[in-house]
Amino acid sequence: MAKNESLETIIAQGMRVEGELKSSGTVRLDGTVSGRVQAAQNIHVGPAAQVEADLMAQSAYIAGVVKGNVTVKNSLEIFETGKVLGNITCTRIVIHEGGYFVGNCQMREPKNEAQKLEGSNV
Amino acid sequence: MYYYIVDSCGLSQRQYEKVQHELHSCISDYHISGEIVRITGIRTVRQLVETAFFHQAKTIVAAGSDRTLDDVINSVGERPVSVGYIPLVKSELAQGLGLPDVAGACKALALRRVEELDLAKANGKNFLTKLSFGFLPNRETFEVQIQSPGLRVQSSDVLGGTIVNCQTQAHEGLGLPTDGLLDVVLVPRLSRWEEFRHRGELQSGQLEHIPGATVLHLRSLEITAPANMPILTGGIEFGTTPLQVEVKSNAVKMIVGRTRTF
Repeated sequence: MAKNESLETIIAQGMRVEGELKSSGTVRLDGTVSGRVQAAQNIHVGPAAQVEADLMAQSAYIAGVVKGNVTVKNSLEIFETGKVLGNITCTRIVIHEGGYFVGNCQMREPKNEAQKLEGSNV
Repeated sequence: MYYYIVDSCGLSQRQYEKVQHELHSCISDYHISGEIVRITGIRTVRQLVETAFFHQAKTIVAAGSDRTLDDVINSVGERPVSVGYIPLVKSELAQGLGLPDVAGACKALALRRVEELDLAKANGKNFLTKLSFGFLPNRETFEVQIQSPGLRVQSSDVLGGTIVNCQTQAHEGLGLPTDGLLDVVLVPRLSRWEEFRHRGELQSGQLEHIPGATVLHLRSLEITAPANMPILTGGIEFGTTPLQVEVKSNAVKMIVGRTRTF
């Protein structure tokens, strides 16, 4: 994989991708994707995207339809036009008004918050 | 020993003599003398490269255009020799490699800053820069199918595309000749207005800036459809589809300048 952090993979509208898509940068999905998408940085799902795949990234921003599990280290944001049908694992979540989510959500405790609590107990 | 393969690359006799004079002066000034041979109708790049190996040349220098460099690299293959480039005509690739002109390229040769670049291979032929396909004169779109290990990409409405190993001005991680990846850019159907608006990107080949373009980064790929579509490099036919392309990391030892863009 590339060492460049700004490397962006784009699946444009009208494009159909099947299989495992891996990127060392950011992934932007606007087409039809099935399988699994893994990004070292963020995943952006556009309003026109139809995704039937598991997503794994640092953060995900969803404005399209995602049928699959979303696992992110940091934050997940579901916009007005976004739909997630699957399980979510994240540290922070934002669901905008109109955003749709069906599934289980498991949230990790933010590391610095946990450290603060531990510090105050001593 | 330096072995210079000089291509007149369509220059007029007068222009060529002027450039040749400058080349000889710079070679002498920077103490990088060697054998200088010129490509002719009966002495092809491949034959000259073989002669260079016969003479045990340690550095083969392509003096000419990007096409000359591609031909030299294709003929050298993965053999252990350093490759230099002296642009005799305006070349954005040379700018990207930090070789702005004849004098600058000769200075870079003398300083010998060697960088290992990726070498792409398509249907058994090597290339350093990029391949393009489509962009048919009647603006007709076509179906494209690309397969890569574990991945299948398909679109029925593609205007054209490029497979980039090394881009003129590597930017945003695209066309980096040291990343071990091929960058595939597919352009969808464009309206006449969009074509006009993005004519600059279409002409320069920086297709990733066109809205709606798909950008993929792959180690190897196969274009299975469309069938029998010409694949071009520098406007010259390289082969036809189906096309199997792969990249080998750090396969070419290239002498580059200080102002390189990667």
